[in-house]
Formats: sequence, C-alpha cells, structure tokens
Amino acid sequence: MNQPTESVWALESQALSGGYGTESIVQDISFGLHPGEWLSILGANGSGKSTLLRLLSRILLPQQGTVLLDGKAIHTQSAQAVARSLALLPQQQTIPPGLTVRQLVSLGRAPYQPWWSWELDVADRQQVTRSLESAGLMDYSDRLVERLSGGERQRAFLALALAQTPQVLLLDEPTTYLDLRYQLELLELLKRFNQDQNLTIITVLHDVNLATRFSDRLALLKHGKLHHLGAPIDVVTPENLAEIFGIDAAILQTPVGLQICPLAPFTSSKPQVQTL
Amino acid sequence: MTSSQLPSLPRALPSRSIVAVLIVCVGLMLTLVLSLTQGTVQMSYAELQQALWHQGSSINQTIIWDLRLPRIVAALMVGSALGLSGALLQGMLRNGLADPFILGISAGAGLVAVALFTLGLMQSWVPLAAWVGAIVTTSMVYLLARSSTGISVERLVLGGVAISSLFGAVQSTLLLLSEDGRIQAALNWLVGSLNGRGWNELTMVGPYLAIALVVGCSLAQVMNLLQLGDDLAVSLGVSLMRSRLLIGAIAALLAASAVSIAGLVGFVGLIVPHGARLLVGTDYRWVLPLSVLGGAWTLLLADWLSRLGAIELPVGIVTALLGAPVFIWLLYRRSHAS
Repeated sequence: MNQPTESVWALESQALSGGYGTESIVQDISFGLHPGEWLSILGANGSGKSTLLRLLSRILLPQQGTVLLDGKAIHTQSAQAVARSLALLPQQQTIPPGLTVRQLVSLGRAPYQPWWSWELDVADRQQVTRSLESAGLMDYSDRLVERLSGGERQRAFLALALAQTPQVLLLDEPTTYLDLRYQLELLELLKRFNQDQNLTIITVLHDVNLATRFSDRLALLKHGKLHHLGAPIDVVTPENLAEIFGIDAAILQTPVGLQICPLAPFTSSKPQVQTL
Repeated sequence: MTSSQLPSLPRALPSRSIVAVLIVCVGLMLTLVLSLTQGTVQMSYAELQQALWHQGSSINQTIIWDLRLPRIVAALMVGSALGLSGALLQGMLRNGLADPFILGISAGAGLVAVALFTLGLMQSWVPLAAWVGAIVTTSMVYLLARSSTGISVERLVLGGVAISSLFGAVQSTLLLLSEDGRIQAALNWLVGSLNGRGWNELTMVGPYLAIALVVGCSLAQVMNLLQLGDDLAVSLGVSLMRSRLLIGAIAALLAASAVSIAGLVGFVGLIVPHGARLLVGTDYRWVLPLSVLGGAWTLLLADWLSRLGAIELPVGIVTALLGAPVFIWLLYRRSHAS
C-alpha cells in the first residue's frame, strides 16, 4: 500500500514562480500539504495571494516550478482531469441570469462528462443532490442564483465546487462580502468537510483572526515570496505582523484561540496628511 | 416545510423551454405553408399538395420545385446558420453585442466568395474558401482586440466594424469591375438576397452547414460552463484555448455558409439569440437549438415579407428594417439596466 514513491502530499508547490506577461508576481514558492490539512495564505494587498491561488489551480501557467496534485504535475494534465480532484471558488462570481441553484450545482459534474454531453445520469444527479444537502441548500434548489443573498450565493458556489467531489479545494477570499454570521457559517461548513471527508483546503483570507482560528497552518506572503510557513501559534507574532502588514499589534489568548488586536500602523509607512 | 416534504422538482424550467420550442416550430410550419402558397402566383392548399407530389399543372410544379422550394430551403439554411453563429459568439464572449456581421466575419467570408464568383474560379469551393476567409478575418479581429489582460469587447467591435467596411468596399469594387458592371448583383449581394437561389448552391453548402449545426449544438455544456467566467470554467475542466478555437471555427463556418448562399444578411445573428434567451433563460442546451429554429423562422418570415410588395425587396433590407429597431431597443434597455 504505502509505496515509498507515493506522494505524501495532497498538493505540493515546487519552486513555483509566475505572474502576467514577463512580470513575476510570486517567486520561488515551495510547500506541501498533507491530505486533510487546511492552509491559509495571508499577506498585504498586492502580495500575490490571488496569483498564487491561480497558479495552484492551473488557471495560470507557471513561469518556473511545478504544482503536484497527488504526486502528478497539474500543468501536464488536461483541465478536465485536474477538475476531478481540485476545485476553486473564485473571489468574484459571474452569475448567468435565469440560472437556478440546482442548474448551477449540476455544472459541478461537468468534469465527469464528455464535452458533448447533454444530460446528467442518475448517479451524477444524486451527487448534485448530496452537494445541495451538505451546503444546506435543498430548499433553495429551484431558486434563481441571482436572487440569493450574499451568504446563500456563496454557499451555492461552494456546493458547485463540492459537486466536483474534489480532494483539494481552493477558496479566494470566500468571506469578503459576507457579514459576521455568514463568515462563521461558511468556515464552519468547510471545517466539517475538512474533518469528515479529509478535504484539503487552501484559503486566501484577509481576516487574520479567522485564519488563525480555522487553519492548521498559515503561509505569510510578502512581495510575492513566502516569508513564514507554520502553525498559527508559531507564525502569528508581533514581529511577523509588523513585517507583513506594517502594523503594531497586540496578540491576545482567548477561548477561541489567538486574537490579533491591531493597535496602529507604523508611522513610517503612514500616509502624509495634508493640513491647512 | 422541511426539505423532505418538498417534492423534488429537478426540472421546473424545461417545461417552459419545451413550450417555447413548440411555439417556434408551429410558427415555422405556418410560415412555411404561407411562403409556399403565396407569391406572384397564388396557390390553394390543394394545388400546393398536388404540386409537391409532382401532380397537377406543370407550371405550378415548376414554381414550387424550381423557384419557391429552393428559395425557402435557402432561407431556412441561412437563418439557422446565422442564428446559431450569433448565439455561439455571444455566449463565448459573454456579450450580447457579438454577431458574425458586427465582428467582420461575414465580410471576410463575403470578400473571398465575391472574389471567386467574379473571377469565375473554383465555384464548388466557394463555401470552403469563404470559411477560410471567415477564419482569417476572425483571427485578425481577435488579434486586434487582444490586450495583455484579455479580450476587450469594445476593441473587438471596433476592429470588426473597421474590417467590415474595408472588405465591403473591396467587394463592391470587385463586383462593379466585373463584366458589364453588375450594379444590381453587387447591391443584392451586399444587402443580402435570396432571389434566384437554386438547388446547386444549396447542395454545395448543405454538408458543411449540417456538420456545423450538429457540432455547434453539441457545444451547449461548454457554453454553459463559459457563462460562469473564465476562472471557474477552467476549474470545472474547460480548456479555454481549445474551446474558444472550436467555437470560433464553428461560428465562422456557419457564417461562411450563410454568406455563400445569400450574401451579407445582417441583424439575424444579433437579434435571434436575444429572443431565444428571453424565452428560455441562459441554459445553452435550449438557447442553441432555439436559435437555430428561431433564425430559420425569422429569415423565412423576412423572405415572405420581402415578396409581398409590388417590388421584391432583397431579404437583407427586410431583416435590417425589422432588426434595427429591435437592436436600438436592446441598446436602450442595456444602458438603463446598468
């Protein structure tokens, strides 16, 4: 069973560099994720978080390095083969008008269909129903996606990704447009999949507190380079926060884990305020 | 009410789509009968039936078999090709302003076809040559519109319009220089006409068109995935490069087939997909077949209208007269929606 050649990583990034045109936005990123691990990528605006996620999900071709999914390079496989084990929830969604939730989630079975296919078979339709159920959307299945609230919409797109039955799920700022309750609800839902089904998760998050609370490991990016990688307790330090975000912060121990309390931006990087 | 009590209705919408398809089919059949019986020579339904079975007056037989039927089949072919081509282009670019006419694809196909016609070269290769012309023009417009961040639809339309007018001018010149200055023929070609189309042209184009219609409709699922945006489409297994090439090539082949039969018929490819989406939503498994049927119906109707008056109008004038107001209404609605 456990052959020595078999990859221990669900997803591995090897010396990955990439960007747009000739410009490199992320450089030399290496890490590996165990099956069932949850990694959050943190960094200031423009540090290359989304670019890294696009490289990991095969949308962007790397300039250097490779991404291995279960030991196999993703950029040499077909998009369809990769889509069977890796799913992405982009930051902003395009919503075609007139699409129902069930129609949307049904598209998650596309990686298992030939391109000319017309109708899903019974097994695929059952998987769609299971995904709708697990995202708590059964009552919404005939509603139009465009009419849903922000939280419900995000759950619908999560159900779409889950219908792919992926081993690895990448999420680009999934909580950005959600209020506090929906943020927690979505992350709790992910945690359940993470624990029950051993789903490997990578999230790009802005909220350091939520990232710290839900992730197994954190990756801190600065100017496109991986600065720190490790368990939240080791990585979230006043020094690192100062270096990555340029803020002075206090770190508190609370019942739900570490809480970061930003005190003030460093005066050196503070914008000049013009006064009359 | 909990989810277990709710009846599972996986397909609430298709019933509406089926109704839409049925209505278009019935409309198509009615227009077909009207179009066969009416014209300079009026026929009763019984006379039409006789003529179709090669019975009764030989004049009626000639009118039906040599004049009206080829023309009607031509209208059906051109309409379905333009409708599907427009639906594919609009879906691929996620923009309702795309159509083979505006993007310059028709002009590219037209230029090659006119060149072959006027020079009297390789007539049987016209559909294939027109396709090559359409593909080359599509690539030119695409390259003009491409920037580092992606395709800009504004640049795409501007490039298409520029190439259309340039190629249109060359076509006119070619037509006017040929033989004894066939101004009438040139005019008919440039506005699009079905007058005097015989079985020859149709059997020449038919096979290409049939293949393009079948492959085009089978792309429905890819089109549905592309509606979700490029990033999500890729993560759902769509190869962007390959699917764009395939959709572009099929749309170009359809436009080229239409152009080799009827010249430059405008507005059908633009308006028909909008109508289809209004009726059945954005599920391309319904939008594509309905665009085929709707396009065929629209052109058949336009052709019938063009023959009603004292002077027979080229069908392209009728589609422009009908289509332009609809287009203006769409633009108006767009600017007020956003």
